[in-house]
Amino acid sequence: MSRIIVVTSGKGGVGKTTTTANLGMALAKRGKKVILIDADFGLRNLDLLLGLENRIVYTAVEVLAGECRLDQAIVRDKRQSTLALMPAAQHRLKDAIQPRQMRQLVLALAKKFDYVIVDCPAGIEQGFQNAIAAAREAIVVTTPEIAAVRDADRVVGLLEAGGVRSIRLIVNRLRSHMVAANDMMSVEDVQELLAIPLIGIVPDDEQVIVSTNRGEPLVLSEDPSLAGQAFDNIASRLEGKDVEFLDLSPPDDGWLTRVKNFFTRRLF
Amino acid sequence: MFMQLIGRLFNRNRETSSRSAVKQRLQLVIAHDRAALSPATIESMQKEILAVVSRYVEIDTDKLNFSLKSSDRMTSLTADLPIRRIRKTPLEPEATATEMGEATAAKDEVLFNETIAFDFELEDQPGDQADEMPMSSESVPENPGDKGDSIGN
Repeated sequence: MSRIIVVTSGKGGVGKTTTTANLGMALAKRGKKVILIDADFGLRNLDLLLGLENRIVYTAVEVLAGECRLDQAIVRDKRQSTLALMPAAQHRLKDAIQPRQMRQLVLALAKKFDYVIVDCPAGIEQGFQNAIAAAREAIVVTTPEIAAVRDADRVVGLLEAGGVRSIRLIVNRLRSHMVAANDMMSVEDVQELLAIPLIGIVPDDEQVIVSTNRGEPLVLSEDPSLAGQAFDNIASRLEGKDVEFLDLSPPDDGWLTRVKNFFTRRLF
Repeated sequence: MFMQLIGRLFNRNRETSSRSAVKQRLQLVIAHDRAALSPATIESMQKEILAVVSRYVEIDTDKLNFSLKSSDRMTSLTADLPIRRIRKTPLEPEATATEMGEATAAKDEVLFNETIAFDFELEDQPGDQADEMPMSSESVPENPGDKGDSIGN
């Protein structure tokens, strides 16, 4: 049976689309047939992160309106032939489709692909309800910041209410220097607050911006940056492999840092 | 950099780290979000609990404390009600409203210095609150100096 996973967060700008693009590409590299659905109607971005923006002809809305066939709207990736995108409409709003229709679309695609990954829009309104309509699993992306964690907690509650059984957490944009200085919540802090199992820790990485500039997900690189490795590891964990979390402790900057870290750990 | 280090060395107060501050704030705000009780509901619940308890004991209304906390996706309401005196004969339900909070203790009441702690637990039912705005944390009256404790206890 194919896996139907929604990537969601509540708050915007925490890395849902980056996560979706990288997980999709990483799973496709493993030979899995993957389709990524952009559920952010009116504000689509997933096509940009994948570098597929010039190849969109039809979107999910045309499919549901019966204006084109399902396979006509599917955009195949040039680099990984097993990766595909179902684009969102850019000129219609989120209430253009209903959860029932989205469910229909997702289930139709699930017949042809091993993984259906839905990139959920920010917020908890109609667009969110559409995105989770057919999901069996959810990945909740958050950053170690107050607003992102609060929104993630709301979303976990709504996913549970919506009948999504498996809910796992990605802590994105971790700055280990700040955690060591007690100026940012650690992964453990976030996990303790949200109380759901962890599937990944992704460090804050400038390469994320570079890769989106080019439309090439991080995991495509021969020698992926730390964030790219982290996303690749999450793909392995989705595949059921037991991969250790990356060691993200800050690099040793010399004796002053060691002394400082010693005191911050012991005293505060 | 060096001054920061010195500052850290001499300032041992845990409250000053922004990491522990954000954790405490989140614990409180998440507990309120999960319970999804409106400020008005909490207030009327507090009044009713207080009214019932006050029929049997006299509560020190200045020191009472209601708080919500969450752990492991379970939310609980804790009420700390410091008791001034035990009433030998419980008041009638109707009389409670007027008697409550007044320090007109009868002579036969016993002096007491104890706290009743209530723990009500509730299962998360997030589905019911999908469209409701989260309530503010100010809705639970707390002793200003006690804020940290009320979250942790």
